Formats: sequence, C-alpha cells, structure tokens
Amino acid sequence: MTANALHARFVELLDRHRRIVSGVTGMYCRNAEDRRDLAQEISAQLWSAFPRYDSQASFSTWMYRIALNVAISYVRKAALRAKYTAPVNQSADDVADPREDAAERDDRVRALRRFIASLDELNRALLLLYLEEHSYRSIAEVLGISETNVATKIGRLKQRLLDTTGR
Amino acid sequence: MSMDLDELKSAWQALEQRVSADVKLNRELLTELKLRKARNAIGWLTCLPALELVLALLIASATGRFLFTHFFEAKFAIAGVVLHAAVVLYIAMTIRQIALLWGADMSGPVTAIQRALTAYGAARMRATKWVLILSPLLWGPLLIVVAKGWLGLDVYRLFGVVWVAVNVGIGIAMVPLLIWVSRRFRKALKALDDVKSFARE
Repeated sequence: MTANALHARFVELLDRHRRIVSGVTGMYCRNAEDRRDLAQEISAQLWSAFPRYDSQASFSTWMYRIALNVAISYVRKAALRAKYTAPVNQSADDVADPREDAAERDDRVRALRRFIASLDELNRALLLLYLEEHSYRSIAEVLGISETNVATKIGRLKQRLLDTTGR
Repeated sequence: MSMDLDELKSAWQALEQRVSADVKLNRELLTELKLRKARNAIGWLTCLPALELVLALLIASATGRFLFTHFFEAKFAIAGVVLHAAVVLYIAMTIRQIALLWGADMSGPVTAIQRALTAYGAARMRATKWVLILSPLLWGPLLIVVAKGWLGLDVYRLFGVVWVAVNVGIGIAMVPLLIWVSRRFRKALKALDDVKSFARE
C-alpha cells in the first residue's frame, strides 16, 4: 500500500470511529483545551501504530486500546505536573473549565462528572466501555481481563454509584 | 441527585454530544500526521535508558581497565571494585528497564500496557533511589579512581588516609537520611500495585 493510500485509509477509519476519540477524551479530561490536546496525542499515536494494524482484527478494539493507553498515560503525566504546579489536592484531570461548569445545567451530567472524577484511570476505562454499551467480552478484550472480572467490576461500579448518589 | 448506572448512560450521551464538538479532527492535523515520522510512544520511552546504558557501559569499561591495572594494589583495587560493582548494578537496572518495555506497544490490552508502563516507572524510581543512597558512599572511591586513573595522582598521599576515612564516614552517616528521603518513591510502587490488583480481582 502506498503512503498516500495508507493515509487515506487511516483518515477514513479514524473518521468512521471518531466517537471513540471524543468518548475517551470526554472521560479523561474536564476542560476543552485538554480534550483537544489529548485528541491530537491519540491521533498521532494511532497514526504511528497504523502500519502495524492487522486488518483481520477489529479496528474499534485496536483503536480503543491505543486511545485508552494514551489517555491514561496523559492523565498520569498531567497529574504529576499538577502536583508541582497546581494547588494541593487538585490534579490536572480534575481541573474543570469554570465556564463549562456554569453551563452545565443538567443535574445528571453534573452527577456523572462527579462520579467519573471519583474513579481511578482503569475504572474510568471500564465505565466508558460500559456506557458505550460494549459486551462484556469486548470490554474484556480491550482491557485484558477476564469476562468474569468485568462483570464483578461493573457490579462494584453500580454499588459505588448507588453509595455515592445516595439512592 | 441520585441515579443508577443505566441512568448514567443517558447523561453520558448528553455529555459526549457536547464534548465531541471540541475534538473534531481537523484537516490540518490529519495532513500533519501524514508528514510526521512515525514515533511510537513506548519506543520513544526506551531512548533515555538506552542512552544511559551506553554511557554506563563506557564507564564500566574504564573502571574494569582501572581494576585490571591496579588489581594488586589493595588501596586502589578496593576503590575500583566498589565503583565497578556500582556501575555493573546500574547496568543491570537499566537493562531491566529496557526489558520491561521491550515488545510492548500501545495497541496491547490496557492492563498489560499500563502494568508495563508503571513497572517501568517504578524501576526508574528504584534506580534513582539507589543512585541517591549510594552516591555519598561512592564519592570517595570515585575520587580515588578518577585521580589515579586519569591524572596519575594518589589521593591517599595527596590528602592523607584520615581524609579518605572521614569522607567514607560522612558517606555512611548520610545513608539513613537518604533512605528517609527516598521514601517518597513509594508512591510509584503503589501505582503498580493498583494496576496489578485491577487485573487480578
């Protein structure tokens, strides 16, 4: 495949699955600028890995794995930077744009934001895949854990949500 | 407000619709990607330890040569052995760091890649910790070896045996303090435990 054809194929697949990028950035970043930075980082890593993509495998699984691995590394690096630059107890992924918070009129979205902020990076990945209605098998494949483990962890997330929101 | 995980799905859809506008992948970015030389994030991470390995191998060959030359002069041989052993230990730790990332790429399962990345981070922290703890102990042997090996000077004769002994004593006295300082690195090991327990449970 020529370089141009490879790029055209990549752009087409990326465009078809762009919801994955927006979902991952929405799960890991609270402000728009960080979301854009992370989207660029994910796209760059997808492009660098694309020549090794095996077309027999599911593109969305491949894309989710890269996007989530990049996002988790991005958030950890940002948290490390924030440790030395942000006020105490405020990590980079918790820093929301105040204009966005003001615009957030939907109580449920606010509750979702709070719940996401209370989770560690791996549980956020699990929650994202669950909210995007992936099967347990698909979640297990992306995360590299067993289906039983997925079921157990989703059960725990449900319980944790009920505890957090007081229902 | 109370809600369950299924109600969360509709909230997620609302949120996702809004954030998707922020991450529209524009034509300029995609063109730039085409021109960019592919740079794998994990491959890039191994550059620093690889560079450190080359440097450490060069130092090990110099300390090895020094040891060979002064093997039968106890006062130099002891300093040479200590320094050479420290460099060999550092080489082993650097090789381990490279091995942790060897063959890993971002398209692997999330827990496997995060385990490799956090294990790598923890190994680097451990290496830094040991460098920090051992550096005051190595200062004396380093001075002896460098002065003799490069400049042909005998530190024992130049400064006296007492001076050398005091330096070694100060180095030993500083170790407990540096061990206390290095406790900060425990957080990196905790991150590794978190990933392991997520995959195991």
